[in-house]
Amino acid sequence: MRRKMIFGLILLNGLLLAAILTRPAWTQVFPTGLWNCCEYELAPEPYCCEQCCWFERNCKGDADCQISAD
Amino acid sequence: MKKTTVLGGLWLASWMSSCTVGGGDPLARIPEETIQEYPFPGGSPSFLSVRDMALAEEGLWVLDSSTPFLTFLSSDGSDRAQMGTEGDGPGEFRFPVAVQDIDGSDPPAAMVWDLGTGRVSRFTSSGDFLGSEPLHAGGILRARAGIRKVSYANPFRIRTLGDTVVSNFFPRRIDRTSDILSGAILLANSTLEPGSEITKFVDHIEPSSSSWKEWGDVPTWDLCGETLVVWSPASREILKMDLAGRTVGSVSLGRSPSPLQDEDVEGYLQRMARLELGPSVDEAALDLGRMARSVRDRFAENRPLVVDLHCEGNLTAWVQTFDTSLDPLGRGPIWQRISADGTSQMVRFPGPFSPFVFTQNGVFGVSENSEGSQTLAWSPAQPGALSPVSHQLSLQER
Repeated sequence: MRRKMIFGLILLNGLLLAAILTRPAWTQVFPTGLWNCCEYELAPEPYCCEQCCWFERNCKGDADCQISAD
Repeated sequence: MKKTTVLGGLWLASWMSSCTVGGGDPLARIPEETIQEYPFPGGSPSFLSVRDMALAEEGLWVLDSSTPFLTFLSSDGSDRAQMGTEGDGPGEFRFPVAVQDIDGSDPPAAMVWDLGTGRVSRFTSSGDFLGSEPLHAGGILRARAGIRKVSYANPFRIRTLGDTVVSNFFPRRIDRTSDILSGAILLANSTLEPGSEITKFVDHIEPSSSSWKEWGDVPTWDLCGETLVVWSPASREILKMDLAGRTVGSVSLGRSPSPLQDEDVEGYLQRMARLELGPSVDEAALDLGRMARSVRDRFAENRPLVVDLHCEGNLTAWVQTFDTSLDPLGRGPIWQRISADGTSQMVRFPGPFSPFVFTQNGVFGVSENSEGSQTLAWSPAQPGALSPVSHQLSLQER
């Protein structure tokens, strides 16, 4: 019974590791900071552009974009 | 049995080769036009990214995206002026989007609409600033500054006919291609104060159309003399309208849309990844093929047929065909020239050439060099020999 449990836990750890490893593309993107979804209108007011990002949505509102610079 | 297999193999090979050699995309057989640097005495100035051009009797106005924003080059080379630095003061620009020649002015002059400072300014061809006025609040277009980097559509078109201005108007900010459909083409004055509506963009797509998705087919237009020429995706026709919005004629484009391919979507996502993620895109090791398949439903079913339209004089329209071979956004090198009598010719411009002004004698545009800057270029017309791919389209006068 104990051996089965240890084997099960090892299997579970393996699955968790696999889950982490299958998402490297997205996790590597996070450190880019508040940049992607911040856009500028023709007047120089930055705003958080809804549905403008295809990759990481990293601003929740216009205020997030005040510190961004591209 | 062995003999039958060999004969069958030979037949299959010959059938396959006949498909690839004789068939294929007819557009691929269109020969490339030649371009040359326009022979302005002293050579062409260098530009960063030209946004608009306007041809006057005396020369050519060029609107760039960086300072000096405005350049005038006289046809005979006797006059050349550059003007418009960055700022909010008189004669300065933030985000100029359109230039038009002021008809009949002496000396030659032009108007420039700047949506960054919210002003329309006037300059002479020698670089003198004549004055400016604030744009009307109802006419100011709100758009994502980089819209031309993410969409083939151009929301910034402004054309003049004497004192009358024809322009796009949008009730909301333009963030994506499909936002264009919220707008209309209106008559206005020089401050873009909205006047009467000529036509709504949404009236030119089918109600159930997938144009609301990325790469949907959206209308585009130009002013050919007093006639508004509109690409109407719903009927796949080039419509000729008067300025009251009545359709006075039409030409069927004579082509059908082809299905959008996964490779088109993948190329588009690759461009967006570079834009959004910057240098970290290479580290991210994105599986764009998988992503393209998973976001396929956010894109239109078919490729758009037309991505831009320009007039040549009062009677001829040029339409740019969608093609992702050189530009992932679809601004392809092949243009269809449609004469008033319905004659259609397909013309392929070289990859680095972006045409802006179409005349009977040839096409003015810019050519991008290896350093990333642009110089004025010119594709001279060879009447009747633009392309061997020529045919007659169905023409209707109403």
